[in-house]
Amino acid sequence: MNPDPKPEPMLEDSASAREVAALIRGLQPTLTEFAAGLLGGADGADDVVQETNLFLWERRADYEPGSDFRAWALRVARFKVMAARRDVARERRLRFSDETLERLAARAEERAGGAERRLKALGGCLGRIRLQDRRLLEWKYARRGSLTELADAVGESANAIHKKISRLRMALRQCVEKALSQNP
Amino acid sequence: MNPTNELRKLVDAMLDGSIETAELARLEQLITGDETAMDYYLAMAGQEGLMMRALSADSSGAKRSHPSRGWWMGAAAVAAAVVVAFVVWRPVAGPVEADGGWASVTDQVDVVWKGEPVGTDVDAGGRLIEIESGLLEITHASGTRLLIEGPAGYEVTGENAGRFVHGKLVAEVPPGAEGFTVDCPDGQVVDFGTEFAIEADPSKGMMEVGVFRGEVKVRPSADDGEPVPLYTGHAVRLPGKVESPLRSIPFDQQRFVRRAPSRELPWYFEGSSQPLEWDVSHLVWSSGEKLAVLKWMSGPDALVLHRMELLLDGEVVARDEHPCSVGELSSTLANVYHLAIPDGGWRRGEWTLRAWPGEMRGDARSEGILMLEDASVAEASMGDFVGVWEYVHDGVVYRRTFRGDGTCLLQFDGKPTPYFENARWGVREGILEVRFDASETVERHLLRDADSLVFINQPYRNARRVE
Repeated sequence: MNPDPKPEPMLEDSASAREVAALIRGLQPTLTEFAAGLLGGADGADDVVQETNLFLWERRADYEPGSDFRAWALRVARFKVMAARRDVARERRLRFSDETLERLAARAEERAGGAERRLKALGGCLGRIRLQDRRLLEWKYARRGSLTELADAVGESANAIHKKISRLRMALRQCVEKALSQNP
Repeated sequence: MNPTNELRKLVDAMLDGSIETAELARLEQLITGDETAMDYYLAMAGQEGLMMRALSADSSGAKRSHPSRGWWMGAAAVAAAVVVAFVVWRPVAGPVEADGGWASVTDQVDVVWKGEPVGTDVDAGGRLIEIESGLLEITHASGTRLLIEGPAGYEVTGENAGRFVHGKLVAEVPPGAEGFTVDCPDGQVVDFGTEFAIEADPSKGMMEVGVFRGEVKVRPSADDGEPVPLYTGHAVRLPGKVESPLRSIPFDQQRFVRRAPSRELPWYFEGSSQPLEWDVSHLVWSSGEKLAVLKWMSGPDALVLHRMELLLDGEVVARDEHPCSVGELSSTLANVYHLAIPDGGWRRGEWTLRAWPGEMRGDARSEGILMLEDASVAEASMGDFVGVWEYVHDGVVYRRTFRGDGTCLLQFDGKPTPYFENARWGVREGILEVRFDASETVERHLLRDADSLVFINQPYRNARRVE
């Protein structure tokens, strides 16, 4: 049984579609921060952001110019996080309880402004750390490499590598805060 | 705020994914009981989320001059090798090897069959496998792998033996399969663990054997004497029916295709409007229509094309012009180009595929693959897709089941999921389409061969048939 044939969608170039695309694009850092906060880390955040993007794009006709696009996008992202958590088959880690999640989401929405500036500051701070530290972060975040394998390969304990990551996280946070306070 | 040691450790464990139940309960208690603790957690988790984006956006570290060969570089290479080996060798549907019969067809590229096409399993028993053109990979149960270039004829005569009638053949004989024997019109070749090539054209009374590496023994039919050994880099022409010695000749290795080429050509887009080009000489073996399918895999920006061309020795022989966009918020639009080589337009030469990007801003980035497929995929019908298909993405084993009644099922790591509950599937112009009630998104697959399912608009690896 064949589904009803539908024509291949044409490339859309209307002004409102372009506006929605630009809004979605501009919200990527905000959505990423938000998803990571609710999920307890970067793992799975990209998927939530992609699914949110897709949902927003498919429902772009519902968007009324001038309404609060960010609030809508964060609601969608929250819904996508809930859906991801329900998918127990993919869970390989512990997640927050529903109650904690509600409170985190409410607070994260209040804090949601400024993600673009934090991203820029973080990029600047990453440019100033030692090369070997940067390579370690690239291994973990960009390549999603296993820290255990890296530890084995360099002859260090996994614990030592985790401690390095922890120190770098803290140093970067302080660097970002300093950068933002100097250029508010 | 400077966190307490306890909070810091718990947040690290959460972000690393290593937190345990009791620790999670304690973390929840801390962050819900104290707003500054919650803010600390959210700042750290948000930073964690932004890290990959920040690492790829900021190139200052990558561009630093003369990175030293410090501890990390070598170590990462080792670790990368470990990871790559793991990823590559994780079997999806078992290794590609012959089971049951004496040999299997394990790959084919642009094959035009002479007579009835051969299925996956090749039974011995006098059936001559003949192709007009293209590349056919046959793997014997012994592990011996043959790559045959048409026009050619080959017959499987045993678990580790065959008869080669005409064409070009490259045989790779792995350890344990030594003794592979191939009978040819003008002689017999016995392998001793090696890679070698044969070209035979009985109409011209021509047969040549060359050795890429290792050792073979050649026994001309016209000679009742001992077989003659041939070593790495050597080639001989057999004398045919005439009683004369084997003649050494130069071994022109470039004449032979030694590996089945990948149909999946990588692309890396960095915002240039210069065309992207791929050498597809080993993929194009006949006239007729080919499909070029553009697939985005990662990167923040879209690749927009407006034209695709197929060139022979620098001259355009086929062209398809329409806008196509992949990667725009992970969506895919009009990503299949149809390229028709006119009848009689094929000959051996340098075939190039060329894609013309639209105007983009200069710092765009994305990457993916271009797949060149035979147009015969458009002949697939629903029955060809029914079954269970398995693939691995980001370390999770996925199974898609397509049932004959149009329903389907998606499983992660062996557990059923509700994702396809309201989905229906069908086939339109040879392309499988999965449609969902609640979404305009349609997932599309094409059938590369009986056991390979290709995702057209999803960034996943190909799926293999498991049932």
